[in-house]
Amino acid sequence: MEMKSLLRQEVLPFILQFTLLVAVAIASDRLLHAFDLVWVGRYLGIPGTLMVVMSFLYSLRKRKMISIGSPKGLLWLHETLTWAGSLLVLVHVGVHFNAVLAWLAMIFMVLNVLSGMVGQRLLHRSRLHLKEREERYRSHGLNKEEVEREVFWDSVTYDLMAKWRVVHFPISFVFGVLALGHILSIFMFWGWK
Amino acid sequence: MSRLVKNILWLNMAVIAVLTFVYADLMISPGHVIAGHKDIQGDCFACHTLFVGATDSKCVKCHKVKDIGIRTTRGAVMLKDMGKVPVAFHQKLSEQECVACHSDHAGIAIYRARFKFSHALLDGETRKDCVACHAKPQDKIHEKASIKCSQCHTDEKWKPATFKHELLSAADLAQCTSCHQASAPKDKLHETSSKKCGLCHLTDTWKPVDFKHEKLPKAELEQCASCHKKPTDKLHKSASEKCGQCHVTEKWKPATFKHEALSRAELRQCVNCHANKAPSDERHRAASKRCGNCHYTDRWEPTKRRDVAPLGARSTAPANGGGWFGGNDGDDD
Repeated sequence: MEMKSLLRQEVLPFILQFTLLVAVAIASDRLLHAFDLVWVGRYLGIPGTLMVVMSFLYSLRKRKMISIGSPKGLLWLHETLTWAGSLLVLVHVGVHFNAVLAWLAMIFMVLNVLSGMVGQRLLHRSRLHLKEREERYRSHGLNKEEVEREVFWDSVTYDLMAKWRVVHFPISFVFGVLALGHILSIFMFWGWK
Repeated sequence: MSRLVKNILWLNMAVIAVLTFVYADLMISPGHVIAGHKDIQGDCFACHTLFVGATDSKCVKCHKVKDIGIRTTRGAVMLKDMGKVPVAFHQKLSEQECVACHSDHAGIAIYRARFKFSHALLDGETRKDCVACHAKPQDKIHEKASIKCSQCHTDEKWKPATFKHELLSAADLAQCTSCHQASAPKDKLHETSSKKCGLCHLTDTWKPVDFKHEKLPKAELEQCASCHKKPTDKLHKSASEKCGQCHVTEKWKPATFKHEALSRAELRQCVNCHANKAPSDERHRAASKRCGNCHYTDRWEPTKRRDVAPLGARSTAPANGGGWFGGNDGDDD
């Protein structure tokens, strides 16, 4: 019973989410080729990167470097923007095997997406485990909004999440550095007209 | 993050940074450069200017505009090879931007569909001078064509070509087979027809055919069998090849046969044509095969014989007992 629940609630959504990302990227690339718009894909790297950069608002909020926005909303934005941004970058890559640096950045981006999706599932499980805390906060007289906020922070700082972050952060860091290297090289050699 | 992990990360980043500078062509180049630039494969700044990209000024340092298409960058005269014609149109381009058409890296070529060569880049005079860049085909169809390719072709692609016969001189227009030899049908109908396709066909489509006998020269008009198959029935067996003696050119039936058109010898061979119509009664059994002894050529009855009652009417046998037609077997003509 427990195994079935895990498969339905965690494994299947994970596989579906990643498969959808790859399938939409391939379909978009095919469409661009079919309509002789391959050059458009070349520029999709820019909005894709900007979306990924914007998703870091959540990271800043979590580290209390900024105080605007609801953490829950920003987390949703983080998940959505990284997924959509990665999609645009994948279309931009278009399976054109050229510069090694760009390819390394792409591989680490995909690893980062996979790692992020694992984190998303872990967070989901953490929330289930912390369900009883919700009752406790309520009994202490906290209103609905306060209860939600407390449970959220508890879930993201849950031990399991802390262990996951040890893996997710280095991957994100390497991706960031490689992507920056690729972008810099483009700035250095590309004719921006 | 532990100190060890951090150190490993920084070490890896440092290795990648070093590799990027040492093997720039592998790490950041979007694919190999063209064969002609193989010698400068690793020297990015031979073509690129930092933060500006590949500039025309760097291209023309080696590729002198006045020599493009005429001489190589080493000064050697370019020779015709592989059917290509040395093209010297770069000197007259309306915009002198190399990367608008050329891409050096293999990885960039895929995006070239948008920036491929366009005749619009050429100045007006050069655009009209097709043979300055394109070699005129040596096949028969182009043999007599003018050098103005645009009379038939667009500047986007060679095919489909939209040829207009109106552009031909009257003499050339009459020489259909000089262009259409390959497409001329090999069937019997066309085998014997003249080479003047325009007698039947229009210039814009082969079908429908607009054939009129009146368009044929008189000599050909009499050669019916060269196009039409003669029927094999008895009626036509002894008929001449001149269908027009009985038939009109618009349709086969009704046929208007005139006995006067027959030769004297043919005129005597009535049963050649009328065998099926010959009555089998007593008076005709005894008669000769020369219908003309009693009948006219334009009708069967009344006959020339006033002493003979029409068929079906009560009649009396001649008193001389010599039969209805007696012994007279001579001509009545």
